[in-house]
Amino acid sequence: MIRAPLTEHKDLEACLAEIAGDDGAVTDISGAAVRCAIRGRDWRILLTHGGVFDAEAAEFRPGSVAGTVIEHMAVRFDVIAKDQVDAYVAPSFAHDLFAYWTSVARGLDVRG
Amino acid sequence: MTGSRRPVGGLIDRSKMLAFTFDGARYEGHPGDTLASALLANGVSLLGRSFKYHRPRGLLAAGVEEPSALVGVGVGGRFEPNTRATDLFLYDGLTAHSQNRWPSLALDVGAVLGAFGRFIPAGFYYKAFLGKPDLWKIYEHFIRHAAGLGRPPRESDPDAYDHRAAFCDVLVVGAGPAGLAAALSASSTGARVMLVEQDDRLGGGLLRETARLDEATPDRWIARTTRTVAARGVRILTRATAVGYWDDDLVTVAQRLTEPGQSPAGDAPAQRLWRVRAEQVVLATGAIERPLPFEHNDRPGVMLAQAVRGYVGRFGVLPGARTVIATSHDDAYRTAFAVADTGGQVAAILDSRPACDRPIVRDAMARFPVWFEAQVLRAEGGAQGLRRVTARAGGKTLSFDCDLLAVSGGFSPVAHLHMQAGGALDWDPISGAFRAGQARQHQSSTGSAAGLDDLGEVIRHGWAAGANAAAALTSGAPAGSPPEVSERYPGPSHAVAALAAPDGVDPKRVFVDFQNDVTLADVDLAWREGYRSVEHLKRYTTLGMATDQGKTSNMAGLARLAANEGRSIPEVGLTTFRPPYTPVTLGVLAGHAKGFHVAPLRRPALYATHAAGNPLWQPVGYWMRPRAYPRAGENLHAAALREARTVRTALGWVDVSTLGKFEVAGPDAAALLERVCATTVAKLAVGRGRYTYMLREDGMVMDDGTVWRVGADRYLLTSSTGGADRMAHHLDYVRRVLAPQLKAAVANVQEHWAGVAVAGPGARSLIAALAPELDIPRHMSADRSVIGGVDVLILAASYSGERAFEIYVRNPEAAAVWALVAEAGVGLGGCAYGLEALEILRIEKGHVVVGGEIDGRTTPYDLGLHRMMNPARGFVGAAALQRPALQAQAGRQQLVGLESAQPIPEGSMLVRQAPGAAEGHVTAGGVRVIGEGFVALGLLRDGHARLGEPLTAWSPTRGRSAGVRVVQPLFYDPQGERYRD
Repeated sequence: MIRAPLTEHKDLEACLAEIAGDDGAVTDISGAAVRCAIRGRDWRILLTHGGVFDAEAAEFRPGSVAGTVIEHMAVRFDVIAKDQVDAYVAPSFAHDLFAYWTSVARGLDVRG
Repeated sequence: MTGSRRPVGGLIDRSKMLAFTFDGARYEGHPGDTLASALLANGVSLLGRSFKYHRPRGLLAAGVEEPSALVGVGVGGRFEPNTRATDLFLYDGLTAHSQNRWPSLALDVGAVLGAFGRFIPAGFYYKAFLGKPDLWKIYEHFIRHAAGLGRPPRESDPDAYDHRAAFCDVLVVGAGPAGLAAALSASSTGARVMLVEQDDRLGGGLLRETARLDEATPDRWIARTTRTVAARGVRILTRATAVGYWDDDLVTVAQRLTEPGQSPAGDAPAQRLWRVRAEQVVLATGAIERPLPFEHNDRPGVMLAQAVRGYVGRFGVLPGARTVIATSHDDAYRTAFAVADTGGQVAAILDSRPACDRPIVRDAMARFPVWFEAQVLRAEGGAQGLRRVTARAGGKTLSFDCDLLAVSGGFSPVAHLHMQAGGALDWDPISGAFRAGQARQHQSSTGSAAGLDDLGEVIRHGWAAGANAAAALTSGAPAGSPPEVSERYPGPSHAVAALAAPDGVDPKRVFVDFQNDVTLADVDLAWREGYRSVEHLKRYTTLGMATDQGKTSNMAGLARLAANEGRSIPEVGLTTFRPPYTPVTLGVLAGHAKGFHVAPLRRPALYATHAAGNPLWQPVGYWMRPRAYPRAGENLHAAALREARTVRTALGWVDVSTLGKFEVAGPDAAALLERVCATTVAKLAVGRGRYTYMLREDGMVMDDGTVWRVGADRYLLTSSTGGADRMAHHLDYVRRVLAPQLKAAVANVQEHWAGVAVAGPGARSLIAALAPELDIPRHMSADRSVIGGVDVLILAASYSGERAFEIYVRNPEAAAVWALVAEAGVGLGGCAYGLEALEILRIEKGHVVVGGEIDGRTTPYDLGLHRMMNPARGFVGAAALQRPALQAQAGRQQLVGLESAQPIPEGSMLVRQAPGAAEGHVTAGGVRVIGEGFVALGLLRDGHARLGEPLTAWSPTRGRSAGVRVVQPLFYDPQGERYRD
């Protein structure tokens, strides 16, 4: 996962295309993912709901990325920091995924 | 049976009272009670009526194996029928009702069925099919009415349910002595351990025992052990039953967060389903005690011996004032001591074994009358309870007045999960039990689940099991050592098999499966009638098919079958243990997916825009797409026809954002696409596109769409909405597996691009108005432009048969472009149209659709698409198309058009004459958009050779038919003049 300021994304795209040459391709998929920022100590417990994903693994630490399915929706995770993870989902699923996590969080059993 | 609460003892909280009702009567109990123990304490011994004969039933057991005490609990949508009173923990306000009785439990009219028992043995309803078939319609009404136990609620379930995943190194199932020891040793190595227990507290069998562990009483040792493992990070779940063991050591655990019928607090879910993936699984699932076979062994007052001890030790309840113990092993003697030590009378101990000289037997003989080689013949009693037990001992017939008969015919290790995991079973002929043998996955069994019954040995074995499980995963050795056990009567129970009924008893009165009222006579009848396989015995008699899944009945039935067969029990075999181990609610299986949330709703970028127009919606997989936009007074058909006519005569626009879209880029992009698509691609010039279709590896058409060359080494491939995910997998498969050497990358841009298709004679004018700088692309050309300051990609393609353009725009900007299209379009006399109009239009043009004509069984030849095939034949599916059966053409279902003066029912069969054999079917039916008449597409055997033939489209299930004529599948603008400039 490479993060860059929005104003620099065209330069980044051109740079990546040059690096890739004939051995890769860069495709603009902007707008094809919605980012959900999850913040708080118990984010790992939240992500154990609705799928079969080991969000509690010690190896899933800041800098890690993973893709899985939560309640039939493909989601990618990017662990930012100890209490922060970003989730990326297709815009068509964003409303329902956000609603699902909101309802789970209301009844969250953080005792595990 | 006259149960009573003892003044002291038990693990209940006597400082608090809980009020509950049973059949409308109000009672009180304590926290820690089950409904069963609370009712016993209140002197209630009649809890239900049996399934078929409506015999009075009380409690047999104290746990999930209870077959008879099934109640309905809760109110409204929270009502749960068939709940075991022994597996229901008391809460304030609990409301429970007995089942299967009318008008009351004490006076049940259904009990008269007992008098007709000889006419309704096992399988009687099969025999009802013999003779006049019309009579079955009479029998069926009564049988259906009498069948079943509880009644499900009619109201919706108001509760929420949850699904959660957990991963661990070692999963320990069962927190009895062996399980706790395993959790202790495994967690001491640093392994990630999870411990699940179906009870509401840890301890298992220790909760009824008086042994000392590391010099502590059982409850103190359990509390200390719990603190120790919790401090090490062991995840402990109570009221959590491992209900299934699946592939790759996946174990599903159903956890009750509230008791049946209880309201959850706030937004909390009522139940949770855990999907646990473990590296190693230790099964410490215990063993289930077996009843004994004798006449009327199902009477209230007959209970399992360990259950009696459990009620005394854990709940402080003495189930009867005067007790007889009947056993085939030493453990039941502990029950005699427990009963006597709490103030009950022990009238006799009837031991089926020869006399023996062990400390526990000697001490019992000093306190109670003990008979050896003794067998119970008959229990006498009824709805009011037990009165007397008749037994045979030393050649004499003896009679004992009592109100409680505590029986034990040995123990069956709980090997269900082991078997579900593919494990084999070993047979112990001495104790007459199957226990876990060779494991197939990473499971091991320990404690009484492994056939052990000496507490010290159970603890040591459990410790070793936990250590071995962790050793496979960590480098640490377990810290500490197994707890030291000291008990008054150590050692095994010397159990012997006691599965055979005494000589001379009436098999019609000896119950094997209590819940389904199966007797020994039923087992004998099945055998006489030729049902001699254990699988046939089960299905014919329903032995083991009730909600208790034969936990207390399977072995007795097998033993009788084996005796009839003259073979051993392992030779006869065992039926398969299948999940769930105990019944689970549909709610916990559904989890979040209930009501509107059965599946996630995919909202296209224009969802809010459409919603503002109040369309009729159409679910398309997970998507919601507008089906039509009815105006005042219009139904669906009227709206769709208006929209379709507007497209044909003026202009229409439709949301096509959900189409599958992929960008394929790289030096070998064309080569990759020529592997995927059955048409040529490489010859496309930049800015040009074409219709294409894709095959499966077996040569059948999988999907269709368009392909556009949008750059020197970059292509845009579109496919159907419904097949988008399948196409994504297929592209990935071709790229990674079939053609890994190609330098091409595939990006899924389905939600990068939203799409608005504009079609009709006014489409060109609309594009010109919106993008005045654009050189309007001709049919099957593409170009980029700007509309309202937004970058767009315009593809000139037609699905409707009119001049058309698909405007692709980045998802977030779709609404703005749609608004501009709508504003300009209305001015040109146009309107938005939905899927229904789209369907009518495409039928007229004979355009095939995935799920209709592309149904997984049609080849390009069948659909008339073969002329477009890439002659190089390098595409996926080309080789399979060479198969003689697919080349032969004769006898194949081929795409045809159908026309009629009447509506042609979609899905109807095509027959020469109704009624008749189907020669094809109607895949899609519609109307002529301009003009009169009805048209349809269909698949017809040898259809290409049957043009002009009259047939009937016949739908007997809907009572509709229409005379049709077979024609070419193209009803409008056959020369394609409408969509070309």
